[in-house]
Amino acid sequence: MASGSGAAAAAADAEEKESGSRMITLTSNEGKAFVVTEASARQSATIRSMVDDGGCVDKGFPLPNVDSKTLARVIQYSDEHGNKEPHTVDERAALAKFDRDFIAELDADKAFLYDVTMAANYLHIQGLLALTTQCVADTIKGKTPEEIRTAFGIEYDLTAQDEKEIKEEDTHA
Amino acid sequence: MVYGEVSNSKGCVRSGLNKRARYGSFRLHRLPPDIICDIFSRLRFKEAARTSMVSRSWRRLWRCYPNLVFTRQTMLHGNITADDHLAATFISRVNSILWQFRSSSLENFIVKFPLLGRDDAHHIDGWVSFSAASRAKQIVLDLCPEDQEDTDMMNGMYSFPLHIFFSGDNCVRSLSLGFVSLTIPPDHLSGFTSLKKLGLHMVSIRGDLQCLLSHCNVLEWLSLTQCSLQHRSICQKLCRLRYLCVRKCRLQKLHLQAPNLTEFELTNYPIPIVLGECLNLSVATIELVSFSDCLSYVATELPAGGLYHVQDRLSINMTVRTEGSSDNISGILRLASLLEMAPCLEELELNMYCPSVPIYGKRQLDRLSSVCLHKHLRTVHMTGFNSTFGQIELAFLILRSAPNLDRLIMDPMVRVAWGPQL
Repeated sequence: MASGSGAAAAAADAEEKESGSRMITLTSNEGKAFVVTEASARQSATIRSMVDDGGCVDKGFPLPNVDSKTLARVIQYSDEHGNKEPHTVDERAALAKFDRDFIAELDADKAFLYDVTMAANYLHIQGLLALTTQCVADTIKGKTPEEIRTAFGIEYDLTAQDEKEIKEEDTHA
Repeated sequence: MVYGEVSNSKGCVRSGLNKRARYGSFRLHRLPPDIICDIFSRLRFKEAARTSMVSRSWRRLWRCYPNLVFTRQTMLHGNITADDHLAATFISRVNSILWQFRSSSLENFIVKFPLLGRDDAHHIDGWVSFSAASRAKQIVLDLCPEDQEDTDMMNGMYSFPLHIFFSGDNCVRSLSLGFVSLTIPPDHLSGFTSLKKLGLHMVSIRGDLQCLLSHCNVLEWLSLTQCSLQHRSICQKLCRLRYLCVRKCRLQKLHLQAPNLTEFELTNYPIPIVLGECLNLSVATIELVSFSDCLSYVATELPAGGLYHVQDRLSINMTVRTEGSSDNISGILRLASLLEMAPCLEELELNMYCPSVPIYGKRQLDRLSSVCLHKHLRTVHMTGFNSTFGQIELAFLILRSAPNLDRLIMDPMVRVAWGPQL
């Protein structure tokens, strides 16, 4: 991964000659370019289909819905999953550990977790999306409404009338 | 072009960041509906329902919960003791939940509770309509009584409104019905174009089931158990079918063209069976419900019908008369003819139950001295071996005809349930 558009293109060329695999430039909505291997980019079904349809690989792909901070984090995930294919038990365990650490960091910053979830959805990175949605579900699991509000930083805004209605609807649960 | 788009979107970013700064939280309600639905699908129903108390924006989010499972266990957990109120309580709880739901992409809609159409048809009609309107992919409506012997209940069976699914495109992939009656109109059938799995248990089928099946072009899994059929033959081409189970339905004829069938189970009295083109059949289990001798049926009808092609395991449960008599004197040794039918057999498991000692006196072995060799046979496991003369003869014959046999196990334990019922 390199940044800065001119240097990125040069690096991409060099890398392509060396490894035989293409490099792809992804541009965040702030105009920052990220150069990744094609294998990494192909973690995203959205980019995969654009590449396979003969899209503008040379020009790179602008991602108007993803900011730089989020894109950097998403690339961290897709590099790990795209560039290395786990063959042995140890390699698979290492990848699973990477996922655990990766999601633990996001879990600590729920607003950022939201951004990464949206980006994973927009880019169609199924593995990442499953990680983030499971993380959200795990945060809700076994918690009282008050604990959920604390966990997600949500303000309590239900009126007495709301509460009464909910209780009436929800006599069974 | 690329950079133009990028600079245009800068405005969006700023507004997005500003919003985040204002809220600084995880905005579940701003996620796309299918993601919200995915998150809730990872929770238990109660956990999902509880989120309605989190905030105003969360209040209705859980209503996209994709799995509705209404069973005694999920609905009647409290301390309800009065038995006669069970059904009424169950129904009112289901209704109160469904009243709140507005899902348009339900995965599973499951009702398992003993109810009668006689009493509660209009409630159940509402549930079925709901499941269709919510585009449920899997529908289970199992109204089987807890005491299945109580045949008096049969008169009050709920009549399943099949017509609800005929109009429009429905996306039911799996339909499972128990203790309902199903009236199949002779024509004007459509729908069920996505149906892959159909299970009917204790269903009273009026009209011809074939009319329904002929419209299920992608059906892969079909199970009919203890159903009463008005038309008691199934002659059908089902190109995608992989699994077929017909148990205790008093079928009179089965003629199937199913090139992809891999597993087949039948419990019935001996009937004409033709499994045309079923070249991929790997496991077949056939239980012949009859007190009379079935060996000649097995030796002639089954191979002629295509059960020759079973690649992996063929299990046959049948009655074989071994007493020996003037016209049927070969006794237990007749079982050796099973070997003749399957020249490539590698493993034979023979679970016997010989209720009485055979009463033939003459040694039979000389008569069968020209048996063919079974070079592939490696393992023979005989259970219910109580050392009657015929069994010993049979074991001896197998030893003599199988030069590559690794193991011959003779186990006295009886491993077959006795007493066919239909």
